[in-house]
Amino acid sequence: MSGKPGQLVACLVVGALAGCAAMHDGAAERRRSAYSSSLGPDATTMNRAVTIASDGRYEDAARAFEQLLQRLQTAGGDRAAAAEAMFWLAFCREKQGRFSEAAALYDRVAAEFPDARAADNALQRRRRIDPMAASRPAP
Amino acid sequence: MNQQADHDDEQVERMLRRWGADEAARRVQPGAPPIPQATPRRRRTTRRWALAAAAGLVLALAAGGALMVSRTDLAGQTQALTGAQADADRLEAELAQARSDLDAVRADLARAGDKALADAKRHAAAVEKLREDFQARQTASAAKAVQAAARLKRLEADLAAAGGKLKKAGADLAKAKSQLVAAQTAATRPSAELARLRRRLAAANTELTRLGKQNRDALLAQRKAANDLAMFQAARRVAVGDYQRAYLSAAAGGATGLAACQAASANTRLLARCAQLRPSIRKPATRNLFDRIEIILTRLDLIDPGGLNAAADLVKIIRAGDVMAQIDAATAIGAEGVEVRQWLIEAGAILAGVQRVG
Repeated sequence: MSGKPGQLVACLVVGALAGCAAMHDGAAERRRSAYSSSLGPDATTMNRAVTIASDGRYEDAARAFEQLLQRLQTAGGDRAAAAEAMFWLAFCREKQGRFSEAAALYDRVAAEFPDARAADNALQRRRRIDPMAASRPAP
Repeated sequence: MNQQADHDDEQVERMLRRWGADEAARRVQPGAPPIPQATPRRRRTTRRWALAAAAGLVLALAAGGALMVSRTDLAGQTQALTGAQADADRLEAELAQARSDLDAVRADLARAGDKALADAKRHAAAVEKLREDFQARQTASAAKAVQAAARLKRLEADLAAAGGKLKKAGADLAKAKSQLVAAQTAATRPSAELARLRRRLAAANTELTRLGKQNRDALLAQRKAANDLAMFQAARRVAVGDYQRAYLSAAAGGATGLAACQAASANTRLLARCAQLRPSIRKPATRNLFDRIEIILTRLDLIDPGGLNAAADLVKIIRAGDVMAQIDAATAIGAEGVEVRQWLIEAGAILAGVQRVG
């Protein structure tokens, strides 16, 4: 870590971030707080599946998210948890290159759980998927 | 009856005729030598013939008597025949006695034969035993001969080995003698050689001293460098910590705790920038690190900051992947571009904030 140039860069970054913070959307934050995930007993399963995904084992993680999603939907349980599980399933498919499946799942998250935290993330990631890639068949 | 009488007469007459011939023959050879009694076998044969002759003589006498009786008294023929019958019975008894004697003789002969056979068997057994003893002695002799030959061979080998050792000892002795001569010659070398060797030894000692000092200096320099590095790393950690706290407080917009981390990530658009920077990443390890951090930041964005274990769960994921150490390594080596490194530094600041909360 160099001395003065590094500190200068850090100061610039901190100043820029202070400006960004002023533009933070307070309405979105309030909406998220009102519709937050409370996984309860399924939190451990969700965390474990996310850890598996962070290791790059997307197929194993997708299988875990599918099981969790099926359990949450059949039990008529936590909608926020179901939305997050569906989002992570779409995330794994995107990382696997199965863009059409991922796009469809992101769309379902936004359509079925419009007030969930995961809906915003789903829409953002859905927009980033190349329309050409989305139309490509899964490998 | 008459026919029977005629038949008897003829029989008696024939016997008398034979007796007469035998008697005449005996009288013709009055000076004949007595029958030699050489062997017991011949004596027994003679006895058998004597018995037969005596029986014949008795029968002839009986027949002659009967003939005389028949000639003299034809009227009392039946009575004479009865007497002849009695004589015949008597003769038959004598013949039976003679046969009994003959059987006794035969039994003697059989016993003698059995004894001779037993003797012969005993002799054969003795001969067989002698033959076996001889064979055993012959076998033992052959074995001893083989042993003796082997021992002789061994002795010859020992002798040859001893000869070789003797020869080698002689050679060693000769070599020792030559070495002794050489040593005596070396002992008389001029002292100049010794002085030269002493000078070389002194130079080597000097070089050794110099190298030891150089080694000690290098060791001291290494320790000093290690201390400097430790101090530098401590100062860096302090600076990074200060930077991370300043970054978070600036980016979070007044939020605190896990919500500050969420706000900082959202305000700085780290996830969106991650997708933009991905194509410029050079090393696969850095790309994997980006993927891992992207997942953690996404999870941070989705998590309820008010949850009981929210921060702790995130910290587990961060520590499981050893993310902070990987960020330090990726930013230190400078293999990636400035923007990628800057993104990693910012992400590290947010994740450090999560770890402080958790």
